[in-house]
Amino acid sequence: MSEVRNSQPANRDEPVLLSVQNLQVHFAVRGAAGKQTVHAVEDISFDLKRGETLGLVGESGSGKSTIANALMRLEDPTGGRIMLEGIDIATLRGSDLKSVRRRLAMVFQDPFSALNPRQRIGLSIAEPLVVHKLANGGAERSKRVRELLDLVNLPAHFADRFPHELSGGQRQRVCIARALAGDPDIMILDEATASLDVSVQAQIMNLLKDLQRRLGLTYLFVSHDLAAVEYMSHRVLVMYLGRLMEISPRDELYTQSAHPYTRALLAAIPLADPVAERSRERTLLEGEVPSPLNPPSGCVFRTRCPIAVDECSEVVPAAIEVGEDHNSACIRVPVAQEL
Amino acid sequence: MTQPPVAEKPDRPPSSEEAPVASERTSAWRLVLANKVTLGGLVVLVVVVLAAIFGRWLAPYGINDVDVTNALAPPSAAHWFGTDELGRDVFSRVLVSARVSILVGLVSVSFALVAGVVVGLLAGFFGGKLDAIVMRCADVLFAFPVLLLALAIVAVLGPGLPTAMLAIGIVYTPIFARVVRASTLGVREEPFVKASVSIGASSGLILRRHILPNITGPIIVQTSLSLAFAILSEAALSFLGLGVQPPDPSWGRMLFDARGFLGTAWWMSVFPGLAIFLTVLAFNLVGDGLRDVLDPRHRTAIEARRVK
Amino acid sequence: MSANTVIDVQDLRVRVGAARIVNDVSFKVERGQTLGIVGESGSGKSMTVLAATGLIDAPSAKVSGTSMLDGQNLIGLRRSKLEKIYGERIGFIFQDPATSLNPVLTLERQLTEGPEAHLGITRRAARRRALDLLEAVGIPDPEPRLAAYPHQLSGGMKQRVMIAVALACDPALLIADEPTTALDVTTQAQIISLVRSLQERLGMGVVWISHDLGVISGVAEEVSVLYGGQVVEHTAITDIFNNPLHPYTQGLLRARPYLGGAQEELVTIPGSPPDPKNLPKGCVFYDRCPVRLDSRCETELPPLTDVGDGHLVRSFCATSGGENVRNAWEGTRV
Repeated sequence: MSEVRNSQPANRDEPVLLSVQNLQVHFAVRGAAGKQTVHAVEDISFDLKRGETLGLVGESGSGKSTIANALMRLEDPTGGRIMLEGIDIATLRGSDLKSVRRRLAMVFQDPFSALNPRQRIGLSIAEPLVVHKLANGGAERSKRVRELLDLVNLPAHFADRFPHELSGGQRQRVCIARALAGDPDIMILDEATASLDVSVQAQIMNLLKDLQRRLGLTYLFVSHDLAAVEYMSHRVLVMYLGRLMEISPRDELYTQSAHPYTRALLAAIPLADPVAERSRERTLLEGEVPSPLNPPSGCVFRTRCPIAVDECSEVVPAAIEVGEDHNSACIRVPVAQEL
Repeated sequence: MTQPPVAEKPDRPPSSEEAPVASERTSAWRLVLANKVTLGGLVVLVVVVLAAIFGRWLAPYGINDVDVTNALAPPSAAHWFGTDELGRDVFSRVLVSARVSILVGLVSVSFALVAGVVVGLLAGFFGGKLDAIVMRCADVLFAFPVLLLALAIVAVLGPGLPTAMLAIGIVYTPIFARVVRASTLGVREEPFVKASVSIGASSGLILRRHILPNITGPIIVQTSLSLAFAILSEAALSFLGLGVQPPDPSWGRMLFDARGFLGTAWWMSVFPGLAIFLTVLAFNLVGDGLRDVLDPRHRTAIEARRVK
Repeated sequence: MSANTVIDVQDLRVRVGAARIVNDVSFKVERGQTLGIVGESGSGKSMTVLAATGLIDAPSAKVSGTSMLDGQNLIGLRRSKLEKIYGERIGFIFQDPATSLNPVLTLERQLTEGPEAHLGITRRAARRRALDLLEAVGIPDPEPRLAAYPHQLSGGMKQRVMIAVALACDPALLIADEPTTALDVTTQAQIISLVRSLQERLGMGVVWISHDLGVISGVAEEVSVLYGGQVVEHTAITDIFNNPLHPYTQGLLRARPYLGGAQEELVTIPGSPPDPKNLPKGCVFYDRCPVRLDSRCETELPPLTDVGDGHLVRSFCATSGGENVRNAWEGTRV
């Protein structure tokens, strides 16, 4: 039963497929106080290696979905570079951008609204084939659609159904099939299991793992659910208020985190053991996430950090190496490790 | 108790997930027909359309058969709706005029529909400067009373049926543009549109495949309501002498001709008036019925009522 | 019914047209105790609680059974009487704090309305009470907040205010319907610990509905697992994790990743929950069950049986066999 998958460090030697360097995304908003800037993503860097899953964790407002959208170029980055095998895709336009969009595919959170309600499933799945002219004629196209449905364990006759005739889990399978249609290298899974029921979530996560193994896919698994991220990922990046807090191989993050925010997040998750859950000592984070319109100076987490000192408000902490492949953006790493 | 052998366990792939009982959605048409009020409106419309097509041959008298000896005769077995001041049969003229009303409605609303949908779609989807310019123009057109604007257009182009149709079409274009733009703005933000963008689809494909099919509901409803108003506008223009030119009849024209005989020959105004009233009412009722059926929330409510 | 029982629900059923949403559900809540109700969407968990508190009054829904609170049956009770009970005896917190507060009223209005009407106290006394409540739910510097409108608060703050409104009249029973589902984990942890500490102080009974067994593990003493509108298992919270007997409960526990369990494969429960319009004749879980003992499972509805120490389970697998179903999912395709 316990067939061990994603045993790490699976991919340390794999080549880097996508390299995000100092990514910045700002939005202008017009509010009561005039024109303001939302600092959605600030100076984020990470690499995606071929065949790995990088978990991207954060609470609402952390900017994790903005990163997903920026990689797909659904939002335009305001700074930094997104290098896909040597090409900066952050500034591409027209047909160059279109060809990049074949190599990256996205699966969205809500399978109910991610499919056109007026369009049959088969047509939705075939869209990448049509857009990138990947099939010659209707016969080849429907053959590919059948193969894709089979890949996500759905029967071929589903091609003729409409989305409202499917359950949530089935729709998410369809969305995955559509994402696979263009034969992408990288799949961006933006809270792809968050709106599903527990038993269906497991089906989808197992399917995704299975597909990764069979097709050699690279995943960016964006989620607020630390347990799901632990299950899915090889490495994990933790974000708070648009900034990187910690990035680390999975097991190290969950057992030897070197950042106070990661530790607070882990402490907040209910354990599946009522006795341990009630007896555990934990420091709950106080207060609320500050507004991204006006993030705190220095370390953005300092206003809620249990170990903040005066110095934290002065400098933005750099991500320092605390272990192999393990970086933490905290100036008090030794103290954090004692938490 | 026997140990259940592992092999017998239902080793079903997750795909055996059954679809939630294949939606028991009744077809839209059946729902429309189940509503008695809508059905009534539909029956009236069918009669009017039949009159428009076959009126010429069904009419007992020619529309311009003058019979001065029989002028201003009240309704009788020979002349069901009476005769006018030249002895022409009012029933025949009302029947044949259905053609003009339906023609004006269809042509002018088709014009407004096509122009409005194109403008509204582009403005709503691309937004920005284009949207700002187009919608300000629409606002300007809106600021004029409908009839005044139509009058101005007819005044420039000269009276007659074609100009009346064009004028009415122009007047209704911004209404369609607004409805379509608002719906487009809503659909544009749907994740399935975002998904299509992320795939690399062109704007044309997205507009054609994802946006347009999802805004047909409001467009159909607006069309049926506009047809009613277009017929009213034609009647008003003809009443003012700017639409159909004599001796051709139209319902509005007949009202215009009857204005001097309101006290002496009521039938000259009542029957064409009634024809306008019933046709407009019918279009409105059918439009309401369609809106209820095409709006998913209304529709669920209707279905629930039917189940009960 | 013991003196400590806050609410006693027996044989609750809800029918909407042909759909059998809730089927013979019974539960009791004592003072100071929390009952967790766990289920996936469509399991009937929210409908159970809405029906038990008389909140379902749609003409199309048929509710039967009894729900006794203070010697009154809430089911079929007149609207005017129910409204009095809602203010005074039962407080509600719902999933979405954004829509549960009235957007056009200040917090002061929403917090004083109930006490003024139900406790018969003056405006000034009600205002003082409102300040105490806001402080109790952990809102710093409550005085200026009284004049605020809901949109000026964050999600976590709104949920705190909702709790304050629910507790305004010191109710005997608090109904919490997925109160943390829309919140971030750190906020969720704050709200859970808040409700627990308030319960210790005020001693109300709590019914906590959730789809997440992890959340329930931290709040409840007893838990009922709902599936297909039926209670399929009911027991003490430690038992549900250490000794789950129903194949569905076992699957649910193994279908969700928990921290530290990353190496273990998740169990995949095939298929989807049953359609309430077309429930299976026998065991509600029959279609998805990996065990399926004999034809009885298909044709006969298993009774909810006490297997000892108040551990109730509705499954032939658990009541007639024993050993073979400790882990119904062992060896299934994952």
